[in-house]
Amino acid sequence: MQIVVDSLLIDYSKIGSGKNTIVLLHGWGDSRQTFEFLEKELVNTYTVISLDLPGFGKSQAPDTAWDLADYASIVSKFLQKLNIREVYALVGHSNGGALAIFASGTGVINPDKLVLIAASGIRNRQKGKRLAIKLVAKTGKVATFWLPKNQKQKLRKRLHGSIGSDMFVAPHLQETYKKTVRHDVQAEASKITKPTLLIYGENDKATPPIYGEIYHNLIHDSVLEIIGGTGHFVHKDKPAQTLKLIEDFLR
Amino acid sequence: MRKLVSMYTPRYVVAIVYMLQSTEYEVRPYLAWLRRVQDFTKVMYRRELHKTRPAMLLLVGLSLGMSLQVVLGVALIWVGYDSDRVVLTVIGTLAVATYPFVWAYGVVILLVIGRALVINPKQKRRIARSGRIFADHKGRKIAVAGSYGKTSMKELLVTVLSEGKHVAATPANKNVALSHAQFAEKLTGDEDIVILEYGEGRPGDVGHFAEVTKPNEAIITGIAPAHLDHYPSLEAAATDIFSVSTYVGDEHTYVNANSEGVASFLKSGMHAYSEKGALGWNVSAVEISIHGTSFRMHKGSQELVIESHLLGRHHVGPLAFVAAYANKQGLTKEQIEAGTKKTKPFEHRMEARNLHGAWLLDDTYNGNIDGMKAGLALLEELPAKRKIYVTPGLVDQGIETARVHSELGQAIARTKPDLVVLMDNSATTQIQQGLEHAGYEGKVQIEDRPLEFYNNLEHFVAAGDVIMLQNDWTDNYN
Amino acid sequence: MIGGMKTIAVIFGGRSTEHDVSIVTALASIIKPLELTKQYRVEPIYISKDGDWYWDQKLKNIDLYQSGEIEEFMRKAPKVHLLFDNGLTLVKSSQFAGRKQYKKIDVVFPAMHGTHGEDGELMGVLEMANVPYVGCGLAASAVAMDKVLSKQVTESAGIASTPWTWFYSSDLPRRHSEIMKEVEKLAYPIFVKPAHLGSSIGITRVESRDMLMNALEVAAHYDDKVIVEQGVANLIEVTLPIMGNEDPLPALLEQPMLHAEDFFDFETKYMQGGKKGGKKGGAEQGAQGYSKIPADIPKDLYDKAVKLGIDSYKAVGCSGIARIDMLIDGKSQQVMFNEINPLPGSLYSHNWKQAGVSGVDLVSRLVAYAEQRWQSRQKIATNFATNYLKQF
Repeated sequence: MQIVVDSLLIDYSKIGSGKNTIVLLHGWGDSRQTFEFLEKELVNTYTVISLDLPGFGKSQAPDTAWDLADYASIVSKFLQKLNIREVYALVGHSNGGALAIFASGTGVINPDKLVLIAASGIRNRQKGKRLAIKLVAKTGKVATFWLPKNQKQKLRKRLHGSIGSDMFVAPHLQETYKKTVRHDVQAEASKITKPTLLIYGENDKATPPIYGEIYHNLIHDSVLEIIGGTGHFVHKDKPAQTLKLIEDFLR
Repeated sequence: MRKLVSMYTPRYVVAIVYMLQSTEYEVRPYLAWLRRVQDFTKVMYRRELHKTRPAMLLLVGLSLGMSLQVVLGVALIWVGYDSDRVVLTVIGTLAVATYPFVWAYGVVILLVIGRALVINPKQKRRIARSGRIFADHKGRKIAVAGSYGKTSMKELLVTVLSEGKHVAATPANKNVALSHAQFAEKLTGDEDIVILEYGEGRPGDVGHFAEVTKPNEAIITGIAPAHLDHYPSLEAAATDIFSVSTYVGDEHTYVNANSEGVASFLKSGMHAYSEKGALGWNVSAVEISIHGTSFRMHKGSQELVIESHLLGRHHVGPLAFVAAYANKQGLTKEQIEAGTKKTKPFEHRMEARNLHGAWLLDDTYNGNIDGMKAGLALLEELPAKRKIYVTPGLVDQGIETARVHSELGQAIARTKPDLVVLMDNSATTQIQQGLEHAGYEGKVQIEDRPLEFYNNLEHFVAAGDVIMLQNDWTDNYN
Repeated sequence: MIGGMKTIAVIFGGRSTEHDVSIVTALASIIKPLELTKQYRVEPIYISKDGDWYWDQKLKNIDLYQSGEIEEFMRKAPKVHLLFDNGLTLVKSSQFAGRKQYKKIDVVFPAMHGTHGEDGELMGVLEMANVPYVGCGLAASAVAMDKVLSKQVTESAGIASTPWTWFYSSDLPRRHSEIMKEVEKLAYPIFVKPAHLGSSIGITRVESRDMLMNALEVAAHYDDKVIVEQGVANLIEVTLPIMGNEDPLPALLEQPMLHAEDFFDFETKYMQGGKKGGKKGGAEQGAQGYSKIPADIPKDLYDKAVKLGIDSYKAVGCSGIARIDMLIDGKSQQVMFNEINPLPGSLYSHNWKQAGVSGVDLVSRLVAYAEQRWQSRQKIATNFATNYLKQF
């Protein structure tokens, strides 16, 4: 389905007829397809809304560089337009998790419960890594200026990929990416009072389990679950286990 | 000239190995082919080398040998030039110039030696052993011989007789003494009927097969100039094929009277079968369509209703014979009718396919003039808005080549297709002459890139078209 | 140049959502059969998604686009210039410094789908150049690609369609209650569509009022005009490819097979075409997935639909080729015009083949129609000797 919110075309799905509504927020460079399995299972009990955030999947990209506040605002307006007054649970993965924290912490969206899967939003932890990326980027620019444009792109893509930067996953959103990268949501997390489920993958390099511990300390009413043998895409690596945790938590 | 130039291209060595493989490493056909080729780069235009072990070994060996000779030649030239000895330079130049000839013919020696020392004695022992197996076997042994139609006759017999009997038959195209021997080893001994296909290759072959396999009955499916390479004439081939009757007796010999080639060899004691009938049965109410062939058979008060998926009038004779023979062997009317209903074309043997509403008659494994004429007869008989006939002509026609292709051209002309597509080769002009001679008025299209033509066939056809493809591999087109 | 062969420029790609579909139409259904006739030399002209024009024999190879090498090609290749010399000549700079390569075009074969190509824009350029071109002319293309205009034109020719209405997108925020009122005169379910786009993008089937406004907004987001149509009960969808100038020749009436989904969206229409499993009896896979050719409907209904198709073709003023989509109420047996497509995907050659016209035959005939139309246009006097300038 499509809908126009703030002059942006948003692609979404709304399925199920449960009394309680769950909203799913995907991560950076991803799309709502990432939740295909969760969506299919949760629909038995809940009304499930899943949207492609602007700039991802089949939704239109914003003209200007956005930050988390812009994303929170569009999700809120989107829900209003669909006549959803109460959100039972907000589920976010990775950057979608940071978005969920921001939106709940600032009160833009008020879900009864929060599910954060490998949520990002802790930015001072990885200073060393960020420095490394910056350094490579700068030296890379100097070292590759003589290469043809496409070769340069390829090389940069490979370099950034190897040290864990998502910047090139959605090239049209580079400025937006920089803005969200800068945004640390620990302050917003500390304001969350609703029950929160934190799920992290044991071997996650992008958002390591330590993030979970930090949020666990910040969010008063939270449970932390660390799933063994999985990386950043916990809900795809261990779908059944993730689903079970979520279902039990939401019950 | 083009031949000479093409011998020095890198494709040459691959072409040589391909030709060896295609002739099954037989010396004579290989040499004949070698002489015939006009351009070695075009040898594999339509086909590819199968990467078997012997082929790859030969490829590596020949490449190495050729390279070595060239290197040696160059070295000699250099030394000769250096030391001012003209003889060495001349020898060196010769060595460089002759490498394609030396190795193309040199490889023959290798083949002959290998055959004489290793393969032949082993095979002889095995064949002798099979003779004893056949002699002891209690079942009825039927030999199927002829220069075409053997495989389909064999399959017809198996399909229909299996409705009431335990039948064994030689596998597809395994029709020489050695494959008969392999087949014998697999027999259980309790078969009611054993069917043996005789693939004639050179004078005396058929007689030799009969001595080893000891058949009780023989079926001669037809005589036509196919694969004549080892026979001096069609006459000689026919004599060889008919020699089987001296082993089984004329009264146990069944001959396809629809084949023109058999006329002068058919004796009154033999049983002739044709589209009119077989073994005292009369055929009537023949119906031919794109979906199959049907007819009725009567003998006294008995009736058989035959319906087959085989296409074309030329199947009526063999079908009638097999039905009558099955009746003689004690099969019931129900069994015979059920059996004939199961008969269908082999892949690429007058197989009908629908392509975007057009009918494609895939007869690409047909390889002899009588078979080609049978296909043309079918094309003539079928209703269509537009008829297209496609062929490259025939290979292995020996000295008969010119006559056969002119005959083919005339046969095509009589069918009156709207369009004739010929694959450009040495037979093309002969077919064209035949077409002209018979006053063909339709369009002729000469294709110099067969593969492209076949791959793009879908662009040429539409509903209402009947397209007959004869005697060409279209493996790339499925 | 090979003597006596005509040069045909095939133009494809373009700034449209159907850019990729256009490439397939051009390469597989036009260029290939044109070359197989051995009577034409084909010059491919590719228009990038950004609207840049390129001309090169390499552009005939599908691998170029599938592998993504096209990006590399476009970085290096010179763009093409069009020279109008009472006809059309392609010009591009060649590798030799300063040298230019020229190629006079005898006939143009547009293979564009959707906006900026199928909608008459390209035809306007070709008219200016006075070069014969295949397919519908400027006016017919423009009318056909605007669903509102095509309904207005067919309706005024007495051709039935399902109840419908339309509005300008810019009016939606200002007069939305009026528009809602107008739209709600139609019975649900209704279909809300952008007036122009060729594929199913931006189209919503609306079952009830609460979803209506969102659907109107989505369609308005895609286009400056929105058309709203009442759904047809007992629906049988059929489509009919037609070719020709004065005496249109119909192919076979084709019945797309609907899937479990009530509706084709962009993906089922184009993306999943080849993944639908094996063929089912009598079904033929076309540009739209599977369909029945000919449509499995009673003879009189079939004839009625063919007549309505041809009437629509003439009413809109089509020439060359077009495809008419029609809706049939299976119970009342009413046939209704739905829309018209001036350049059907892949020329609908799968259907033409079933109708007895081969791919090679189809493109040859279309080229002949183009030349015929051009010639008859030359006879119409457009130049009058006046002494206006002298009097000035």
